Amino acid sequence: MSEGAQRDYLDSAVLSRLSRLTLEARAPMMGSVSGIHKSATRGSSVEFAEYRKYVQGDDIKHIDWRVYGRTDRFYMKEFEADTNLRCYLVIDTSKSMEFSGKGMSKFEHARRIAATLAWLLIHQGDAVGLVCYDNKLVKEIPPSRSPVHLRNIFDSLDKIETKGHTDTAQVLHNLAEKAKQRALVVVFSDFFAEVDALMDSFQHMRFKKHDLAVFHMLDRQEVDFRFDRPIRFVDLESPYSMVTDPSVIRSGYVKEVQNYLNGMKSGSREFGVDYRQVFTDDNYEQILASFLLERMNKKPGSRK
Amino acid sequence: MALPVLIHLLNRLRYRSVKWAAMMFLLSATKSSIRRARLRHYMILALRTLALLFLLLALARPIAGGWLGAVAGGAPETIFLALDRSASMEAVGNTRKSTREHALELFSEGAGLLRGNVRYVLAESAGLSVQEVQGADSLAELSLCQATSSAADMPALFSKILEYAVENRCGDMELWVASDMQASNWRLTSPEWQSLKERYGALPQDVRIRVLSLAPPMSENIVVDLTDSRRTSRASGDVLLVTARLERNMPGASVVLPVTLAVEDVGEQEDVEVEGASTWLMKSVPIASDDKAAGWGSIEIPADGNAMDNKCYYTYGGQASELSLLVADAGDAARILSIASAPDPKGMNQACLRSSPASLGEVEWSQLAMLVWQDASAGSGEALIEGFCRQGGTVVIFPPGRKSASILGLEWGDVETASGDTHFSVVSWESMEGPLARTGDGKDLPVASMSVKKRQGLGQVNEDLFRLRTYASYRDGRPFLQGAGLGRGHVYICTTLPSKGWSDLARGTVLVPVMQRLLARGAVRLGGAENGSVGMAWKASGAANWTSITGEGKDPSRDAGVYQIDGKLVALNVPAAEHDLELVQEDQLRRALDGLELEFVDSNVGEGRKNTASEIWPLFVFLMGMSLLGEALMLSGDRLIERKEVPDDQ
Repeated sequence: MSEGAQRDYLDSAVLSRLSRLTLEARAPMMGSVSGIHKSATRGSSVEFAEYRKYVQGDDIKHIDWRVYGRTDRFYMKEFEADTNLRCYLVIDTSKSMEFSGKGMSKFEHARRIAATLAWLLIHQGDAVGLVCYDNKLVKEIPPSRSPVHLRNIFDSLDKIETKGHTDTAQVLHNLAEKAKQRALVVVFSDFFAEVDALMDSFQHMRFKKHDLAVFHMLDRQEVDFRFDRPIRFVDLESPYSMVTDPSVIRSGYVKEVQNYLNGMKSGSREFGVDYRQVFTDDNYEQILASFLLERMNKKPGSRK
Repeated sequence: MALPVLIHLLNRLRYRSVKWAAMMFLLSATKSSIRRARLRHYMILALRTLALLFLLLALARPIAGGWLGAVAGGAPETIFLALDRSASMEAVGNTRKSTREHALELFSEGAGLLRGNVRYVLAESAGLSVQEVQGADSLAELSLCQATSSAADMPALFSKILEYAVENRCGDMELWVASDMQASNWRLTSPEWQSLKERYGALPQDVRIRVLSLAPPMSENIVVDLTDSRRTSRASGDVLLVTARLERNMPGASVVLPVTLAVEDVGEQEDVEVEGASTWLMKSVPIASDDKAAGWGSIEIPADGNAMDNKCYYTYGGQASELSLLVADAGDAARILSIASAPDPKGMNQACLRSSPASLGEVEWSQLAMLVWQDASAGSGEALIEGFCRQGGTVVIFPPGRKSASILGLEWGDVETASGDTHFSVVSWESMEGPLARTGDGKDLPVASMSVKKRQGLGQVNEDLFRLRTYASYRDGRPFLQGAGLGRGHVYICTTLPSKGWSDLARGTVLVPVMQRLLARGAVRLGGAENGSVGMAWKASGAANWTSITGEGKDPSRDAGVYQIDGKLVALNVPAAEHDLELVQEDQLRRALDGLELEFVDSNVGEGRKNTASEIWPLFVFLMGMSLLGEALMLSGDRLIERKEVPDDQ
């Protein structure tokens, strides 16, 4: 808890409440360390899973003598190997994430959620890494379970600045290839790019068997577009600007945004991406609780 | 009005900068809605401008609608209140107010809207009097605005107004003309309108004519119209024959009408079934054969939509021979005219005598009904002819066939001959009354089928003696038959002859009825009794004494009744033309007064609709509100956009 107390984007009370929940992968993980997550491979691990016939060479300590007593046959107990979760927290640090309508910016909100998740993961014995990007990788910290590693992550989050333009799809494609083992990839971005290109990268991630969770960071003003006078809009990621009367184009703008968001949702569902929209004025504790609980409830045979 | 535009533009120029991340949506939205945006922008600007415009109009408190909307505005120096006082203006509708009374109300209301020093001059149709009045508020109390049984001569009224304006040097003026637009009163086909149009147009001051068209209310009305009344000798004794026509303005199922026929004050009621549009009423009443005196009576029906036409008066006199005198050159024309004047001398107690200009002193003028003249001037006999006419005789003048002077101050012009196989056609004539009127059963005389090869028009007319009225004209507008009153008699001028080479009048289908009517007219004076129409001619007859037999204070120029004038009984009734329902339309009036500033206000009277304008500022306030609401809706309309989201079902 000491790490959380020093960072202004972490709230110890929230951490305390959320720590009762477990972040679980939706699919079996592969890992060499015994953890709380189901392993993709069956092995001599703690929990009994099923029987199989004895073959010569098996370790006889796993023979279930009760079954032998009933059947005069030797059967070996198979156990599901509980293993650790590897999680990549992928944060978009392009200039567009700097936007703030009222209150917190998208990046600050993403950082808060990501940092809380990182803390939870470390404290439940899972490995967490950090990837920050704009149109290229800006910062990469490979996943690790060490508490010291958590400090590195937080230090990076403190220092990182939003800059440059976005290329989320390319970064995800690269990450999909780079992460050799199955991982939980949690992406925090505003995803202001062509939906088709993004869906390609999502599909690539899923193809590589990664558990992809997407936090679509948005500000209300970007979606509602409520302005009461003509505005000069200055692009955060380019020198381009334009003057327009929002009242005149609002209906068209809102329609474009809705079409885009619907595309993101439907595409994410199609490719099995855990997609959620997060507005900067949303309560991040509720977002995280919802995220964790959904995963706990939907996972088959999950621990209560 | 530039203010809202300026505000709108300034508003557009006041913008702040916002750093924006979601540029991709902004660009897409701008691209797709740029045209819509422009239109919306212009509509918002237009609505704002309209809102301000309506506010300004509301603050101005304008008047609009109907008569008052037309007259509100700047006032001229002089306003002529021209009132149609004809009998048809007494029709009443549901409001129990006559058209004339409603017209006076509208005059008063219109005058009430005008500010400034305006001179009001009343011009009325019954006596053609034009005189200044003290405002328009008390017109209803003036005797000059009361009901009459007369017709209206609108061209003459316009002429009187024009004379007054010239004599009194009026400045900018308006004519407010209130009329039920009866075609028989306006006589738009008369060539007098062309002259009036030119004379009004030549005035140096601004002239505006506002015609208040008061359509008669559509209430049921039956007219009793006297057709004929005469004493006839029969084997059994003298009989009074009275013929009248009952006409309905709304013909429908037959109705039974109680009709009272009175001989003097003794009346007898009888139920008469009125079928269709009109029904003839013919009564014969025995008269004691030793009763040679002229008499009178009346026919009356119950009151209905117009009180002026529910009673008609008649007179009857002693039987007399119908003598006419022909003064003409020898020839076909003279022979035909003689026959037309007395087609059946024995059967109809008629005769046509011959004389010459030199022998006029030997004529028993007191026994004559008609003089037919087809010669040069009368020389010393001129005074006899004029005296005869003034005493009630009829003078009918035909062209001599050479340019020469004629009687009664007339001079003939050149003889014109139609070229080749063409001929002069008579295309318009008075068919309601006069020598060429329809027959008793409603048929037109075959005037249009006449063929005139030669004609001779008048070169000069003594307008101090009489003013000619055209009863029929050729296609080129020149008169075929003219007439005028002279004293109690009448003068008629025909511009062609009933002889070969001139016309086919000798066929008789037009000539004989015309000559017989003119003869009957002239013969009335001999019987001691006469039937006529209410009108100015009686006032202008110069009769020394006239007395109303059927009520005190009556005036023969405006009131129906029986009068005694110079020992003769005269029954005056509403002119037959007043029963004609044909109305003048706006486009016809505009054509007749083309070139003059004319405003035509159509008003419906008496069906519960009040033709007064109202202040319409509430309308502009409402329109302003609508404009602002429209602007607000356009600005906030995007809140109504329905958002559709893809449901989460993970």
